[in-house]
Amino acid sequence: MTLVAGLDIGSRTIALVEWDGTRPARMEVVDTGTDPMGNARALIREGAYRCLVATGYGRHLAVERELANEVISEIKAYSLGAHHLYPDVATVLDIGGQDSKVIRVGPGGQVLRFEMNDRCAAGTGRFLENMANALGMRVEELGPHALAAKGQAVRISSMCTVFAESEVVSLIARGEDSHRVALGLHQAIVDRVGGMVRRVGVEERFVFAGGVAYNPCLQQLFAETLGVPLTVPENPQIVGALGAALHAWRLAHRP
Amino acid sequence: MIEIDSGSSQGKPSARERLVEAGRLPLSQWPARYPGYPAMGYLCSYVPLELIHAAGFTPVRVRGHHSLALRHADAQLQSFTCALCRSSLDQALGGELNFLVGTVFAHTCDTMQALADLWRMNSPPSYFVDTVMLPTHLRTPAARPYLIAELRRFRERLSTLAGRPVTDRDLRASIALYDETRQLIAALQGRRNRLSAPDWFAILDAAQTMPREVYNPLLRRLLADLEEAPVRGAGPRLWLVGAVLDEPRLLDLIQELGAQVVGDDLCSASRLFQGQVGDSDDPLAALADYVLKRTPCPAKFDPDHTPGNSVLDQVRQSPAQGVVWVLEKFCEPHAFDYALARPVLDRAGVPYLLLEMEQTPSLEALRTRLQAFLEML
Repeated sequence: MTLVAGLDIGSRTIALVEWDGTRPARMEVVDTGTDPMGNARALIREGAYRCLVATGYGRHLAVERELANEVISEIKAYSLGAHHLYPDVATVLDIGGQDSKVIRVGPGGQVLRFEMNDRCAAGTGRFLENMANALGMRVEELGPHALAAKGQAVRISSMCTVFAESEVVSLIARGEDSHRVALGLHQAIVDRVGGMVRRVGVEERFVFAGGVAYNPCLQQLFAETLGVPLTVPENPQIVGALGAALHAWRLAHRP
Repeated sequence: MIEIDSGSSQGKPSARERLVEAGRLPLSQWPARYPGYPAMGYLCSYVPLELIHAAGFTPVRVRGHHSLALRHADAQLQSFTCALCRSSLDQALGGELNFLVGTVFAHTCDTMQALADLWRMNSPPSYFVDTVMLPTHLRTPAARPYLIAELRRFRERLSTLAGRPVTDRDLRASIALYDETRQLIAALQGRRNRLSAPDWFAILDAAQTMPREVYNPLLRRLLADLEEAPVRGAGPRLWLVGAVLDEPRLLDLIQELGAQVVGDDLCSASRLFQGQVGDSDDPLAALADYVLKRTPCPAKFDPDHTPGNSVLDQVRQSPAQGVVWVLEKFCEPHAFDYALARPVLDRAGVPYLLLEMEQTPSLEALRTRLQAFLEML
């Protein structure tokens, strides 16, 4: 048994990385659904790992249910994962289903400081999903739709997920161009999250991770607004699970 | 988790258990617990408790209640006021504090001032409400004589309420009782590593509501019990700073995550029990001097006090590895302190974490922040 695993049980998705000491042996992402522990159990191969480290909102439950041996915070997990992928990483922006985090990464993937969004889901994946829904499209379509806008973004004044949705509906009803409305929604997220990024400081290399990092419009707007090139991992959703797996490896090979 | 239960004999609760339980007692149960003690409410650590006690009343601190779903206060206070003021008003409007003879405020921030006015407006005319008007600039030549005159005015109002003069002799006896608490808590600081964080704060909470005549002997017993108690295990060592800590679940989280609180500068805990007033021929002047020399509230101006250095000095004299700033959301004075302290802590290389506490906070988000911070230490 030479494998270890990292499990990131988030609010929207569960990611698993199996690590063999040099590379990921398996990487998977599934929906969290309404039974996170059941879905996590179905994803892992029980008894196949020397150590399993959980992270994400379901981390403590995973230990209670004896799925995982240890837990680390998502902040540490993303920091370790991003540092493994890009040893020169200085800043990680992680936007997941229900929260957003900015991490200053030091030598060895150590967390030097971090900021997290407050209680509400404004500017997270859940916000984008609701807005895509209000515009009658899938969340994957929202970014390209916004990038196709001709002309200025329509300003969205509310960042509350519920109020912004009614704002979008009334803007569309008033005949505003849905591309420009979508662009406005992305701009609103960048304005809000950008403030949090600046509290930690914009330093290169800047890695954008979490499921929301797939969004091409946000990639472009963040790079423009923050004035740095963004590095988006090939699979931005597994960075936390990768960090957890790396931590599991360290624990399993502790002298 | 191993709980220390030294001093506990079969069936009989130990001093620690009694104090912790008293610290967690909901105020609505206070009159049944302490019959015969006329209770006077107070909200701020600047309220001169010794004067209230000398007039024959037991000062009982009204504390915020973060996990309370507010039912009444939002009709009168905006949602951008701190949880301390909103949840205190909610308890008052809900009738839970009806046993109080009156409530005393101290002039600190605008919200507290507005709360005092709301308290008066919502009470029958016979209800005693007073605001002790402290000087804002603590180091002008006028500050001391002004404060002595204000304390004299407050003493006269209390005398009228009590129906008898509050004499210097009464006041000196009350100062002695309250100084005794401060002395015992100073001794307890030295045995703090034998108490869990939830217990430590509950024991200090108990001092703010229990009659001191009952509290002091129990605290003395606790001190003796702790002499033989083992020092609690390792784990990251934290220092807590801020205004009030009205969310015991935060302390449970710290405990659950395996960390220890080795010191604090909170106005609902250690800051309340600094130093001594001392025995004096002029007890009113001694009280004024005590108020002027304690660690100032950020709503006050003291040119000799710099919040960053004050925290840094305390942290450096302790084994703390990191600072957790417990900020009541919307508390501007304490937020200013934080802003000034941040660069000082940065330069000194002391890690810190800001936790904004609001009414019904999201505990899971607090857990993630705290865990990530502990991983950094």
